[in-house]
Amino acid sequence: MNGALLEVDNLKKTFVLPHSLFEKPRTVTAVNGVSFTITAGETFGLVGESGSGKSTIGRLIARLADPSGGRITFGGQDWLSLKGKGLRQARRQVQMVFQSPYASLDPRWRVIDIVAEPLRTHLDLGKDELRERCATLLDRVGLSSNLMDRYPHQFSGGQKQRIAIARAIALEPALLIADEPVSALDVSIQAQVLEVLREVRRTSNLAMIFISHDLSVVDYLCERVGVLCQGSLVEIGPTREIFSTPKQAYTQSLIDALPGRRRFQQQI
Amino acid sequence: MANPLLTVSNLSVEYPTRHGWLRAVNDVSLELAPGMALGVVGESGSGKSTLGQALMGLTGASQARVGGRITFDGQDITGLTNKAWRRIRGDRIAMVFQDPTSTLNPVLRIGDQIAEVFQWHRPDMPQTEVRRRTLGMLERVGIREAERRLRSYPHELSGGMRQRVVIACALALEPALLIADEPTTALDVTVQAQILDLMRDLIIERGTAMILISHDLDVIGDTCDAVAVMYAGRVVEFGATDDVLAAPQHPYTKGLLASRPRFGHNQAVAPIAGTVPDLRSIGTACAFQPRCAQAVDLCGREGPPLQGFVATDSAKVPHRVACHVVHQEPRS
Amino acid sequence: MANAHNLTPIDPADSLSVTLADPTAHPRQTAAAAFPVETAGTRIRQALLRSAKGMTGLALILLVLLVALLAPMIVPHDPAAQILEWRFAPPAWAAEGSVTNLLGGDNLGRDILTRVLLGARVSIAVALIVVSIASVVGSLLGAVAGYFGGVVDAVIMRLIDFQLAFPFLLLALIFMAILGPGFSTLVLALSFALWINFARVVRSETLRIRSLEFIDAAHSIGVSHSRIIMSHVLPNVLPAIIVIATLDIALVIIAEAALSFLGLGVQPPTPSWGLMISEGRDFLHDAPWMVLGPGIAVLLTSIGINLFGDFLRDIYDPRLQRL
Ligand SMILES: Nc1ncnc2c1ncn2[C@@H]1O[C@H](COP(=O)(O)OP(=O)(O)OP(=O)(O)O)[C@@H](O)[C@H]1O
Ligand SMILES: Nc1ncnc2c1ncn2[C@@H]1O[C@H](COP(=O)(O)OP(=O)(O)OP(=O)(O)O)[C@@H](O)[C@H]1O
Ligand SMILES: [Mg+2]
Ligand SMILES: [Mg+2]
Repeated sequence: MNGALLEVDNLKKTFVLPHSLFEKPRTVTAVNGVSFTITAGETFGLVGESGSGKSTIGRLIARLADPSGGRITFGGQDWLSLKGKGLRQARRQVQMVFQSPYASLDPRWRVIDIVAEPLRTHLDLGKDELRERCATLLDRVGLSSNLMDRYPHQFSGGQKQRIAIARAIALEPALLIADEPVSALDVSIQAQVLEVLREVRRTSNLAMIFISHDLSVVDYLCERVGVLCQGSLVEIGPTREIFSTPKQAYTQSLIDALPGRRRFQQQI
Repeated sequence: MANPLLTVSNLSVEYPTRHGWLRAVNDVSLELAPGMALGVVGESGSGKSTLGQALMGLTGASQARVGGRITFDGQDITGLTNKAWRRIRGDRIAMVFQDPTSTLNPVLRIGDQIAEVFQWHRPDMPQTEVRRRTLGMLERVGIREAERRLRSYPHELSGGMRQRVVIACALALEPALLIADEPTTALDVTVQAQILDLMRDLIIERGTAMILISHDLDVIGDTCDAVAVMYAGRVVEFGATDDVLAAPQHPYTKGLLASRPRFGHNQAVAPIAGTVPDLRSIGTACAFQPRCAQAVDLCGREGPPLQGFVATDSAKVPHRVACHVVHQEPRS
Repeated sequence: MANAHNLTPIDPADSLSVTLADPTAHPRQTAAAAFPVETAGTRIRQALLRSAKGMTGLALILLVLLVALLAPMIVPHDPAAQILEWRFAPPAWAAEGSVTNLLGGDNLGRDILTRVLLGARVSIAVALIVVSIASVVGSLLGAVAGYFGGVVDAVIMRLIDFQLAFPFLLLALIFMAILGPGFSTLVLALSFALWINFARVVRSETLRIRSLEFIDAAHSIGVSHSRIIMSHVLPNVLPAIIVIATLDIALVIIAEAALSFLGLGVQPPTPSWGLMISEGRDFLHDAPWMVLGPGIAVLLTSIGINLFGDFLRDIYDPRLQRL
């Protein structure tokens, strides 16, 4: 394997809760000294119960929030020292897919404009070329390019999520952070999006951080997994290993909570 | 069934839209014995919530047109007035919705919200008794330090705790039927498991019948005795949960099962092709036919009836399916 | 039903789901080619033809604009001519009325119809200019405050508080003292009074929109703050801006009256609706027609603008389009 693409070292994030002038500020430690590395092309899962800090880690790496401490090295570069224009240009390397298919697409933009936004921002393409690139991207996520001139509300949740994926892979990023991309979808629609993500990963050298509280989905998609509990990584390793022989009771409790799991155990 | 608690016959619910009537529930017939847990599963838009609302007499608000008959506890409740409904709702039939935040009143302490249920339906109950029962209910749904928690406001609780309070409100008067519409969809897997366990324990302990609406067959598998699979407003498969999960018959049920990754099995998931059809454009044909790989000519012409396909012994829940292909094939 | 996966209440059946492409079927099999590419122009035109609201509003607005443009050519009399017999002449439909003064005459013996027609020019011009200035300035400041928050927000909010604490007339007087009375003073004073309406609403809408994930998405793509505000935030606030603008146009027409009446705005004898209403107030009992003519003109104009504003707001919400 090639060297590390992303190194996260002792990452910390503390939020100060809103407080009045006379109160002592209260804080929440969302991420508490998390370290891991990801190699190019690898799919890494982050699991944990609600509030364990999964989204916050994703947002810190995507530079949507600033950490309170720690280091992030991306592609050999000090990722946290980037600022202003330099940061905006570097952002094309790390893209995100969000949880809500309804809120992550601007309702007033046509699909073509949504998918073209990263291309317009970073490249100088002609109108025809832009359309062509968008058509290819939509094709990659299994959507017809005939739909380019429609608005998001004319699509189902799963289709919207695929549009969001098309936007995220438009600039061929090295890392894709998917924060619960299927949690808001019907079970039957989840499969469509999972297949698209698998396909995208197969056809490009894309590393992915896949955030979810649903272990079956992580089990399906990820090679390695990190288990988060109250802001700290309590277990990290190959998915197969962690899920078949968890060392922490916390991990085991996550596994036991899976629906259908108890049934399965009863049958044995 | 000897003495069903709930009988639904040929229920249809139609919403007025600007392009004519939209039939969200189409010719649904069901029977529910006392204490039985029935799961209703289907994709978004298949009419699950509409069915639940019709059973609660809540479709009036959207000017829906309701056809068919609903009999609850021997009484025909199809044409009840709003006033009569208000007496039944919360007392004999209770409901739990997906989003606990919008169910609870944000400016009322949770103790008062539960007490309100007693005060509304049992005006004669003495205050001390109301308080004792409220406390008992909170403890029963697993809220620690119930005494102190009585005074909390909903926003001070986590999503899972709030859903526990909602369940406490719903079960306070020991209703005969609980309708739960995606009660855990907004929660994470760990909390979901706790809430489902709690609901299961409570209904078994009190003999409450339950209709659990979900889009996840696994959730229903863990909780319910029987399952009804809905597609485009119709029940396409019905049977004991064990039968349906072990040997699904309808291509749609099979598709639902295959589209979910199995934990610990690395088999590929297979999404169901296509999308849910426009409910106004379904003619007489089987609504699933455009997405069905096994469809034959007949499927495009007439809709299959919901029929039992093997003789089951009468004690068991019959396994029924609405599919021409299943009924045509002689089963081995 | 509030569903996590159903935040926006879309109705799959009411939207175009039949014709939506089959998501898993391969793109080539989809039959969506029947959808021609629509430009915004044709879309608005088609929607307009179908909307009684939009058509009525537009017709009224066009009528007023036409009157304002052609007024000098179509007026029956000289607006400044004071004719003794016309003093308090009742309108044509009253018992002693005559067709000479269709809407009657005022206290100085001037023809009211003539002055209403000509007054359209000043009133409309002031209203349009003021609302344009106030909406652009107010929306930008509101969006910036809501988007960046923190110090920027605090400064802009204090500015608004400060101005709210100041009586409007005092402000207008200060403007007049500095710039002298006249059309431009009027426009400046009114714009200064109105921008806060836009700023406050746009700020709170921006706070809501800013927390939506598509803003994070644009951010993580590397889109600059100014572009995010211009292309994501403001278009989504537009419906609110349109609503305020339509309400404020009527407000400006009235406020212009008050200022002109105090001698801070348009100078008599130039007719303006506001001025006419203020002048007529003293004679409300004896000659109610003095406010009737300009009053109806104000009413029709604001109804037209409100109807059309409503229609525009629907158009700009793609979710409401059922074409
Ligand atoms: N902007 C914020 N201000 C204050 N606290 C925050 C903020 N964002 C997150 N938190 C807190 O940080 C903790 C971790 O939140 P985070 O969203 O990362 O969890 P998560 O693992 O993604 O949970 P979920 O599964 O619910 O999405 C939580 O306690 C949360 O309340
Ligand atoms: N008040 C209403 N007016 C018009 N149509 C409605 C109304 N409520 C629901 N519908 C339509 O009825 C159909 C069934 O909706 P319903 O909410 O029952 O589905 P569901 O199975 O509960 O879906 P979900 O999983 O998204 O909750 C949908 O096509 C929906 O658009
Ligand atoms: Mg999260
Ligand atoms: Mg529903």
